Amino acid sequence: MIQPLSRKKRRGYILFFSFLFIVITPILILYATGYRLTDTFSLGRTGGLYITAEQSGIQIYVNNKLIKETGIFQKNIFVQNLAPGTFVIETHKDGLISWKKELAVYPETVTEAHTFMLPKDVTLNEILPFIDTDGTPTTSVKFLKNKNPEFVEINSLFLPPKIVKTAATTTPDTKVLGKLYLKKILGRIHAQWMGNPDEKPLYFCQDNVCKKEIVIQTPSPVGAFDFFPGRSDLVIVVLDSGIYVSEIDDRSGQNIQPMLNGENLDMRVKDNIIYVKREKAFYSVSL
Amino acid sequence: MDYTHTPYFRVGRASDLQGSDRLMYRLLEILPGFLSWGTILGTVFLSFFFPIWAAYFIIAFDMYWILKTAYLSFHLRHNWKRIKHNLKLNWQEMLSKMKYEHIFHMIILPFFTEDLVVVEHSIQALLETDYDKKKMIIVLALEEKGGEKAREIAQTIEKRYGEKFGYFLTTIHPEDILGEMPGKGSNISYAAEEARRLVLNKHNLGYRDVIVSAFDVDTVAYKEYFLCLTWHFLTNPNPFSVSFQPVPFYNNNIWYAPAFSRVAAGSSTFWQMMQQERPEKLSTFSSHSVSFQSLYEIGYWQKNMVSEDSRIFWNLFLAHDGDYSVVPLSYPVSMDANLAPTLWQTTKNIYKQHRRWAWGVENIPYILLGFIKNKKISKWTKLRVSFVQIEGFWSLATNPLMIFMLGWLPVIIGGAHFNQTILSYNLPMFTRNMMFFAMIGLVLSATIYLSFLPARPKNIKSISKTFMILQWLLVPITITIFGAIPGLEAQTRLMLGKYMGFWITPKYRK
Repeated sequence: MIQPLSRKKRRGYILFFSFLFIVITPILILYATGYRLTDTFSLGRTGGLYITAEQSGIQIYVNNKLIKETGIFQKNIFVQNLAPGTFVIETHKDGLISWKKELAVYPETVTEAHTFMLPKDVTLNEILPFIDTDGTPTTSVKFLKNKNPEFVEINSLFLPPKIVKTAATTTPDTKVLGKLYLKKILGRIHAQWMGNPDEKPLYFCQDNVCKKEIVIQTPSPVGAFDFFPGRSDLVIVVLDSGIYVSEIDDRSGQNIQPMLNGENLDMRVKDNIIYVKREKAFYSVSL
Repeated sequence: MDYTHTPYFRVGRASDLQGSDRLMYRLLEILPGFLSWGTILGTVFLSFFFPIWAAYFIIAFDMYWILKTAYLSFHLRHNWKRIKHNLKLNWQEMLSKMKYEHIFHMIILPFFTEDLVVVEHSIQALLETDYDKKKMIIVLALEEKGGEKAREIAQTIEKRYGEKFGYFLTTIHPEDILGEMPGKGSNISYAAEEARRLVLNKHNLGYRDVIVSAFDVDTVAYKEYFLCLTWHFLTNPNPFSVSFQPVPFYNNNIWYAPAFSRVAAGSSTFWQMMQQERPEKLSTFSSHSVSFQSLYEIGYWQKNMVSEDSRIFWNLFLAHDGDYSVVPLSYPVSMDANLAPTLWQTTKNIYKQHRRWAWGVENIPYILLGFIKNKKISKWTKLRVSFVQIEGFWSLATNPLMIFMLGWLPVIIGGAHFNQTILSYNLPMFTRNMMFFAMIGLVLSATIYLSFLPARPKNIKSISKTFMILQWLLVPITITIFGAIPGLEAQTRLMLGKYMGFWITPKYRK
């Protein structure tokens, strides 16, 4: 007859598993916190990088080494075991403007980077002023009386602002997204966080030291500006030479990418769509 | 047995006592819920205010859990070997070397409104066991509340099978007896006393020669169960200081039960199998056997509470001043897995059944008060038993929640500062990987489970066997929904004094 597990054997199991617990748990905690064995077999503190991309097929390089190509389901990467120091992150994809940033990695901390890559060529869809008898937008003056309501609405966006006293926080010189304020002062955009300091966007801070405001460094004074649709860390600005998108994040110089080159352009954002005015024509932008 | 004569011996709840004893008992009723809620809320508090410490705690807890799972799997595997071995043993031959003809088996089948087919299946199985039927006393324990239908079924059974056993007694437990809670405990206690009067005394059968098996009405005894039980009874140096615990399989209708019902039932079996290898942690559960003499000395099962199956053990433990234990038989009996006409009803029934089992937490104040009042039990025994029992109920109610839900909490509520740490990125990965390792253990569960399955009925498709393996992926869900949550509900009810009544699991056969 097979006897039940003996007390001796069970005690042995308990001792064995207790030993494993006592040994493994501190190692796990140290590992999870970022401690690693160095080449000299001493314990060293490491940090990590968390890089987010918005598309699949983007190649992410850290210090010139390809780390990953993003896929449909996995667009973010987490790289750990990095010795504290500065790392150059680059992203490339055919048809998109490459992005590059130099970021510092600190012990036990993850430095986050949010990439942005505009298409090298954007598509402009003209909004025509009239509608023909079939309801199709047209430029034919035959239908002068049938104004395209979309055209009218977009046109109104570009009209000079009426000066009225208002409690609204968003004005031509101020844009607000949540607790993040963009203010144009003397042709420069200043980004300020007005909410709880603990919830401040990561790019305001480095190694636990946070800035009060960030100035967008543009090569010429800014005309119209707004938050880039869908992103709170990007600003779309109209400059003398065209329309550009800039990071607010200035941890290592701000990436600024051209969206549309040309002079005398104007731009507005409404319902997450970018509208451009060139001469007297209006366009919506497909990115 | 001094303790049996104290007012604490048959206490069901705090209100059964007076003065400071009542207050003490009430505090002890609060204790399990307080510990479980304290752990859960403590983790939430820690995650919010000290997320780094919470993360350390969760990693350590994950590690503890995975090692505990591995530790228990050794017990499970060993018990699996023992059950298979015991099922192959020739118990008749083993008994033939000793005198056992004087041993009678009294089988009590409590019965409410279950269908004839359920009762008949159990009786038929008893008839097919390898034990002299003349030495078997069948007690069909009806509830008066069961009404005319129950009486008719009992009459039919008695008519068909009454002559085939040495003794057959039908008892009808009167309803609404003052001080009793309707349920299995009051019914089988009544039945045992009736059997003593009308069978044992009448036929001069010695109380010490009768082993009582308190079954459920759907309990199906395996062929050599009573031989195996008799052997253990006769070879035990002190058979009146022990109860005998078979392993409950839930195989009667397993091919017809839905996946999560099978997993919940299988998990209960596995838990009992592990406990069989740690008898010092074992108390009686569901169908169990015990000498009539031991039962008689303490006045049978308690009638004023729900968990009579485990309470009878604690009654005997305290009555014997701690010198009482459970003999694990490592031999199965089979019962019904939860099954109802609809999936939703089955789900509700599983939840209610597991809540009733988890209501076994009502034993904690009983045991602890008993330890305070009974000075004859050694301090070490009190300490060990208290820890085992409290830890058991605490684990049931908190561990699945901690593992499957709270592992991510510091990341969610720990704040922006914590979310910039390497620790916050690693925590969900660690928890996920630990769960993955633990899931590997489920391969063992699936293997063991398949080895004990009854033959597949012809009207069940062969693909069903594949689902019998894949079903184990449901474990994280079932141990949370049918383990932790009903466990927590039971403890919360006890904590708030919202006492539960006895809920009879409906038996339904396709």
